[in-house]
Amino acid sequence: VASRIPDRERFYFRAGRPLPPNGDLCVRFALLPRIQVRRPSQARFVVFWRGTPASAIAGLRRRGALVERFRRDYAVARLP
Amino acid sequence: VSRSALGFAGIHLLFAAAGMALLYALGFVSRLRHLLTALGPAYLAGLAGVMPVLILLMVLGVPIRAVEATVTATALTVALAATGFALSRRRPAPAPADDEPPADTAERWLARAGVAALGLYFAIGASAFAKLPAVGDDWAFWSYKGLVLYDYGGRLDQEVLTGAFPGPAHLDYPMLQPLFESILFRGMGGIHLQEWHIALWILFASFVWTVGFLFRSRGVGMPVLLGPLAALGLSPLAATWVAIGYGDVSVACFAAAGVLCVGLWLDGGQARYALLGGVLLAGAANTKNEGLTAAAAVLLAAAVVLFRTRRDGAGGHRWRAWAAAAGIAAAGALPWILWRSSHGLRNDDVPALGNSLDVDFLTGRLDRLSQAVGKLAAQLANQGAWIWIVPCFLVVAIVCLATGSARRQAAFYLGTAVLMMLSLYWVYWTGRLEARYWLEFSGDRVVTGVVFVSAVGLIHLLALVLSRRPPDGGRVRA
Repeated sequence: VASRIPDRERFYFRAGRPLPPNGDLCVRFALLPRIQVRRPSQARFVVFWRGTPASAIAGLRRRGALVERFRRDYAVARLP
Repeated sequence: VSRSALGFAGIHLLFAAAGMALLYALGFVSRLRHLLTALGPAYLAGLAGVMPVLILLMVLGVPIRAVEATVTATALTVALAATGFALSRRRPAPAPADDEPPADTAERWLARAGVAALGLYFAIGASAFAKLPAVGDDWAFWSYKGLVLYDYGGRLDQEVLTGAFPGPAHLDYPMLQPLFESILFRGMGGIHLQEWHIALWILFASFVWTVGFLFRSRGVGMPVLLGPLAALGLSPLAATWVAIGYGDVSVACFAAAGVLCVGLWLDGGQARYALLGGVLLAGAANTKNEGLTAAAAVLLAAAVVLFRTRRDGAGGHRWRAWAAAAGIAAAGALPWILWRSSHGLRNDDVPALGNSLDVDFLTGRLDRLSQAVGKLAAQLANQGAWIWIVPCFLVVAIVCLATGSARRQAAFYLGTAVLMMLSLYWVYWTGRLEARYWLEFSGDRVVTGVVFVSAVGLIHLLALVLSRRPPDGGRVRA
């Protein structure tokens, strides 16, 4: 995921399944210096983590987002 | 030699230089040969003295990067060295070597062997800790904050650190360790999360060195020092907390060194001990919240001992020294407290005093207090972890209280340890987290400061008892 988001960019994190305890903190730490935000409207990127709901991905694509899927359950969308 | 190694050494020497100047200004070092013997305490004092100033600057909006840290530390070094030079012309500065007791050949060889063994242990530890992963609280907040400061210009006003965006846990925790980590990374030219553990290990080693240095400055012999110091240095849990990058040993080092300085000052020491104690307690208060309560505990216990001391006669200047130490500690702690308060950052694990100071609230949670008392006592009694430090301290302290030998010092160290324990009990008693779970993952760590205080108290009391001098009179020597 980190290789797909430039340093210092802001991302919105969307987990498909509940993470282990403190898993959100761990991912946030591992993605530094990229900054997680609270709302998609604050982000340049959306990270889909262990879950890529088709409707959400399609919605982002309709808005002009570039979506890159990788492995089975992960995707990064660059918002327009 | 790599750039990172040079930067690592350079940043450490920067703080050691400032600390050495502080020790010189206070009269703890006066000769060139002391530059080596006082290197450990200089480093610890340098961190405790410079970091609160850097935190103040950061709170005021100054970005703290390598340049700012270097300029600040250098300016403090020059100012303190000039002060020391001016003071040294007015009064002779006592030096450790001047106070060293005469040692026979056997004692001299024991001392050399002990110091060499401890030195080897810490050298091997530094090598072993060179490649360790970031785990648990390290990535959850300590190194997390350090990386944010490193990546975002050494500024506090980042959304990640103010809570506007999701960030690390415990935003209210003081910033000494993360800021130091970010400065070290800048000096090393990049992020070195694994090597960072070496810095924490050096801090621990410098504390052990400081305890030895301070006791030697009061003429305590190596046979008394080596046993408790070795037990502390070799204690498995202390090494564990360093290895996983937590802040518990860091805060314990500053707090216990501060306790020792104040204890030596109460034991007929000059005011310079109290002043150095104030600086070290400021370092503790800026490292973890437990450091703040430890500083308050030390100063309160010292005040009670001072108040109870009637035959001293020189009450006025003793209280002035106490006030100076308290002022230094408070001035060092306040910037971060004010900043976090102004940004609405507080410890969500514990309710505000206004809510918890309620009889119904407290009596309804007595089971939590009971669990905390049992769990923390079990931790202190875990000799596999702390090698008999606390039981030995308790025995010696109680004997001192009962027999009247070194009663003031025993009351001070015991009072400090008890107050520190009470603050821990209060947190678990009133806290919001489920008690059993909370005690399970933190109970073994939070007693670290109490163990370290017990260790320095044990050495001090043993030195007093073995010196066979009149109770509470004269100077420490054994």
